Amino acid sequence: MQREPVKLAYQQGLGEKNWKTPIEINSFEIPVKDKIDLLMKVNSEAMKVGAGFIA
Amino acid sequence: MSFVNEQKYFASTDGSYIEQDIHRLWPTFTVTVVDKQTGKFKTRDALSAPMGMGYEYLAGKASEKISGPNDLILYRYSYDMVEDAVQAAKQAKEKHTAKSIQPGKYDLVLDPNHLGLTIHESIGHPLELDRVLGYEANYAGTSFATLDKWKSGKFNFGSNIVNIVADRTQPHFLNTVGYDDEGVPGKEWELIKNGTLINYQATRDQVHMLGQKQSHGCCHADSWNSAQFQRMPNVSLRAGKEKLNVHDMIKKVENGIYILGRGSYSIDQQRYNFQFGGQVFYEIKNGKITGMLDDVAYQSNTQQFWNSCVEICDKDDYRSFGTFRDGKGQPSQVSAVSHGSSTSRFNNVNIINTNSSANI
Repeated sequence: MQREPVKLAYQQGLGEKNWKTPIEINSFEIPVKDKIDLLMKVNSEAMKVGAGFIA
Repeated sequence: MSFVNEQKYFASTDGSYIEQDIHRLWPTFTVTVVDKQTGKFKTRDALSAPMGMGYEYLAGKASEKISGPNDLILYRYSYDMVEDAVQAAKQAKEKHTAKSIQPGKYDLVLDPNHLGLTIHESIGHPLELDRVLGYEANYAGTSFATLDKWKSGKFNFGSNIVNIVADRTQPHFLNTVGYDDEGVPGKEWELIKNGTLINYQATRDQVHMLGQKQSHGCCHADSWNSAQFQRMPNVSLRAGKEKLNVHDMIKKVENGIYILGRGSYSIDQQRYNFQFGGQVFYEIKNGKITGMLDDVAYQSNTQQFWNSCVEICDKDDYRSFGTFRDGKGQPSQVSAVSHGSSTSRFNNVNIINTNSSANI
């Protein structure tokens, strides 16, 4: 049961605002093939020095 | 590899209309090396961190690498995944012959990629005001850092070099945003100053309980159909003020352990008594690394542990740790959060051996 009213700290209305993480390269614009090629290289280079498997 | 693009629109009767485009990525792996003679498996997880960045994090820039002890390569804001996989395989192989730890008291040198989880569990969570007030007791738990301790103004959470900051504006960190989910601009505020507890994490409906007039801006919902509530901002240990790198820190340790990476952990619901493992452990004897150790975990309580912090490396060593999936609330919600720190030394910490069958 609520025993007393919620007290919200004042927040000024800010109007129209935009914010974006300051990225240099959008990960979603990198072709899937490039991502798979990187992962396959991670796999093969680790296997060369003794890894049994990489997940 | 995981990639997230969260596109969020917030409108309120206060008169705010906020559009945010938030990017995160998490390149990671687990390398396993099998000893076919013993049938034992040893693993080493990536020493990357999930970041609030784009694909540029994977460029592996030389300028963002730190040359660590024992030829280790450590990564700041650019990660070389292939290089780390190779060193991971070598280290997983070395673990097969690593010495099982002799339990006892050791001085610990903790890498940021390890210390971030300890910060998260032992500082980030107990300073969530809703936990302190008991609102999350049913699921997440409560907190030892009660209001009477804060009101005293004298509660020594840690040693006088421990300065903990909450920050939703820190570049590259996961919980960095322009505005929270109550329309409050992201900000930075201090939680622990010179070792003393001075503040919590609070939202618009909570700050009046602390006698404060402005929200901390740490309200978050993980979806349009989730209720927004207080979530942990980026909570970080400030870098040391004196010039110090990890090599010089280790030179001064007589009997210690250097720990890197996230391992197993356990902590009680008040966030007081805990145990943490790691990914890689090195023995330090008389200022030098003498070999790899295995089966290491440290046990302490939050106040004792943070009061044992005696040295923190400078800003050049500062790096981040993070997770995409910090859980809280019922129905459960996830949140992404980072924790920054520099390599830090903790004296005389209790170490246990986690392998019950180890011959030590």
